[in-house]
Amino acid sequence: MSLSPSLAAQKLTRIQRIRRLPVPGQINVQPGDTVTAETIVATAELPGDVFVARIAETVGLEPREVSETLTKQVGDPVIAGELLFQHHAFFGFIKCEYRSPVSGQVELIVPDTGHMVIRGEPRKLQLSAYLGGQVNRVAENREVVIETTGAFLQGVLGVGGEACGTLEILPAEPYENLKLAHLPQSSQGKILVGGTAPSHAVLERLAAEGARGLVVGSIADDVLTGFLSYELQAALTGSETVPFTLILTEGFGNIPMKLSVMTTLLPLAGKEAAINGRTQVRAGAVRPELIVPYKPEEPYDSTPLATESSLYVAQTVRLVRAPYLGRQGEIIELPEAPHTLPNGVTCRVAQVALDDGELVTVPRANLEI
Amino acid sequence: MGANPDQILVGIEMLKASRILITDCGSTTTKALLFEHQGGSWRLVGSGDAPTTVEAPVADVTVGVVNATREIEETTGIRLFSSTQMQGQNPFLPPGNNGYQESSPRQGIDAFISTSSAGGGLQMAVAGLVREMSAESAQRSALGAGAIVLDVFATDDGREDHDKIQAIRELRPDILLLSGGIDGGAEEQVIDMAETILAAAPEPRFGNTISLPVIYAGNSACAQKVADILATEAHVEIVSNVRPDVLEENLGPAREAIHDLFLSHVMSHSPGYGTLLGWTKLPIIPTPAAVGHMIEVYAKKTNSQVLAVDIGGATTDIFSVCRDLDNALVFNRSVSANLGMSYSIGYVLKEVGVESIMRWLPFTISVQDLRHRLCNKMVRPTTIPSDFTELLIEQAVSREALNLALRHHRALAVGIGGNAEKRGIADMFRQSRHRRELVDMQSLDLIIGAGGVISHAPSRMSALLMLLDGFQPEGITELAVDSVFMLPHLGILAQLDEAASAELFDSACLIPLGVTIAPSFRNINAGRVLARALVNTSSERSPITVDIIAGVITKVQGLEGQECIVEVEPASKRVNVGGGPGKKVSKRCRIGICGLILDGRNRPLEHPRNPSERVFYQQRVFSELGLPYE
Repeated sequence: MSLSPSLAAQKLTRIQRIRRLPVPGQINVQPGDTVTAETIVATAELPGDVFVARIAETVGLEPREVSETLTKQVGDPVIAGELLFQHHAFFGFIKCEYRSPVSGQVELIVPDTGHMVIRGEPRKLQLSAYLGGQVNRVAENREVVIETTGAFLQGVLGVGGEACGTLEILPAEPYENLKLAHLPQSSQGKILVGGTAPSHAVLERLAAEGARGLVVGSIADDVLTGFLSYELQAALTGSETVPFTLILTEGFGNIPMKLSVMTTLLPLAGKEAAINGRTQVRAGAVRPELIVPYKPEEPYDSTPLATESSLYVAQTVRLVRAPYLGRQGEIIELPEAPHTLPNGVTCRVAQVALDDGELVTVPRANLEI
Repeated sequence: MGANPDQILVGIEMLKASRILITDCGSTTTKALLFEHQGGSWRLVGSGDAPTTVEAPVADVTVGVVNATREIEETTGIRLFSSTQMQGQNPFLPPGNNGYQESSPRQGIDAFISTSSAGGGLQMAVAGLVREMSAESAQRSALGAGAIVLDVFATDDGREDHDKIQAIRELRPDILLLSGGIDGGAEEQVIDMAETILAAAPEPRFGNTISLPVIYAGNSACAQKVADILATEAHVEIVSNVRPDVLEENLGPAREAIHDLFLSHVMSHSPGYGTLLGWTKLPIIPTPAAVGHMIEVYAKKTNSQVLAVDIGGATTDIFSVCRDLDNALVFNRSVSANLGMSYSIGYVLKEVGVESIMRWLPFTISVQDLRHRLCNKMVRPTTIPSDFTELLIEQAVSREALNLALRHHRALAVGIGGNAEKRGIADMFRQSRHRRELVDMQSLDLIIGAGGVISHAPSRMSALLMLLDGFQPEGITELAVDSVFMLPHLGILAQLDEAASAELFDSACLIPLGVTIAPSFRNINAGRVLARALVNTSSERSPITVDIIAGVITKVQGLEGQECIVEVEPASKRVNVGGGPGKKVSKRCRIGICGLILDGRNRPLEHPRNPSERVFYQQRVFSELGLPYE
């Protein structure tokens, strides 16, 4: 049974996110607490940077000579400029000394080399909730699970990490190139959605105004290179230094944003949203996301959509590879036996009726639900 | 944890075995192959694929193994699974009707074995003192064990201590291999490197509560001091020095330790592998180690120089078995972890530039269109090219990836001199003159291609042309392809039964593509005769005489599938066909399904600068070889 991937665009679903510290720390919330996206749910101290003081080489003495007469021991605090070693020779006329260039704590002394390892001051880490919702559970002084209900959207590629802001839907059709004229008077603190293929000028203006995020259908690769200040070489993102988080729903080029994005998000304009551009395209893929928490007024189906499911006749699908990239259609037939395409490639295919009526035969691997 | 010794079939028992199931758990796909011994020979009777399930949400590798094996059941009708399966227990039926109600002439298996590169495979960091000596030897040892080497640290790698510490901390390798100092040589610097590792407090990739396995393979005099320094942060194994002397390399012990630690520390903590180990007759080994073993065994058995490539979605592995100065066949492996056809396609584009890819295309395309197509493949790596444009673009990228990966491999596959004379410390820094590249493109006997873009190319001729354009061999070379990427399976089978593995390699795995004659030459105009080849086949037909023409590539019809002796005589001293300038060469070859290819395009391959002329040139190449392009 072959499964086809899908990128979610769900109007209302239950969403959980695990907030995990890289090292054990302090959890500041309890199960049942209500949090906003900015609530600091956990804190930790990360080990400071290490400095290896090469005392023996610096003062020009044997390692053993140095190790036996250091002024500090393992565990002692050190202040930058503090004397760590001093040696007098030739009746005190020659003095050599070594002063610590950093503050921290002595972690290790190695007699064989005459080195002292000093660990710098710890760095404080504050972990936010990222989502407005409720604390579902906490674990091991490292983990907090936040749960909420709301709209959930995935893109195909993102850059930039977590951010939150006010959702605004731009007055650009899904197939329209996003231009300056589509932007609001101020984009500060906002996550904007709409259009495709934004220009350099659009991204520059959003950066200057303090936008938090932008979701578009596609982008020209040179525009993305300008945004990142380097060429993207792999779909492994999330830690770039960018002025705001950017998510593409379709890919590269000039591809219309899929309509389901707009229909899902349009009623939610003005609400607080969370965006994360982190992308990892491997087995167990991670795709960028936009989440708009809200409480439903009526009962709803909380079952998350499967990230993969099998194809069936009459199913609506998107074609995700040239020459039909971005087109939508309906499956007419799913032949069992592999089929040889005109280019000689043999694979399992689907016959799809595109939205303009054209009938095409495409690899099943090129379909997205 | 590990395979029960009582369950391991030794070679003599294997002679009675009739059916073996072998899986390879790749990073994306788990592939199962079923081999059967019937009528005095081994053959492949079934295959099945399924997505690898080592990562969330399934997080159990055995699920993918079972799914792939079920496909074999469905397509062959051979019952492989017990009707009563308990969670975690070995699900496979033994041969015969034990416990199975309905009689069936073919059911069950005698053995199940497996390889794996799931979860990204074995990822290592290596450290040594001198980059081109101990660090490089450590790197070769790790690569030979089937690892991806994430980083190589050395005292002369140009990085400050704090940069090294930060880099080690961020790496999260499975295993760290520390070398450095010839026996009787430097000690302080080795201990210094150990301190750096201690300060970095590296964490292993899997499992936050387990210590990082560290293998120490450096100066034996400071082995215990290094182990003491690292004791609080790592699990340290001490093995023999990988570089006991400037001109001596000893990679075996470190390689063995890597295999053992891979099993005990890495695989045992990967989701589902503990269960899988209980099913297998042999320890699970990394996929590239199995492939490399197969290539090495074949090359040494046939006494030939072999170059093999596995070009995948994320990485390109190259294996070579080539002669050193003492005429011994030496195995080497490199992995270009940033060169691949889908996940890493962006790296290839960045490394070579869009013009290098466009030069292989027999049609015109804008720079931006090409870049967008490649970027879209990068973000949707599992899609398939459905028209000629997409297919030929992918094949163009593969040529550049092969070329780059070969350059990387040739820089690593070096001999360190055949002279056992001992040298001092000062010579360490001059030892580069004793490093000799082992891969000689004029001396290769066989090139083997594997990996989706090559193995699944629509025509075998397009697979041959990718290898020819990518590697650009010279002289007389046979080219072949791994039919269904069976090399990992046969590599581990060789550990159980080398004869069965060799038999299947010849009969089912290797598909001979063709033989190429490619002279290298200088100052000869296009259209002139470079060399004349006399082809004597084993059939009763008269020998064939053909000319290799400068600037022209062509195929000689009618020799497909023939064993023959090819004699090539250069037309002048400015032409080399593998035996030296102007020297005649004779070689026995097996001509595959693509026939005999006469390649008069000089090395390195160059294309017309003018875009229209370049497109026309490539169209002519395709037409000469009978390849469609629209």
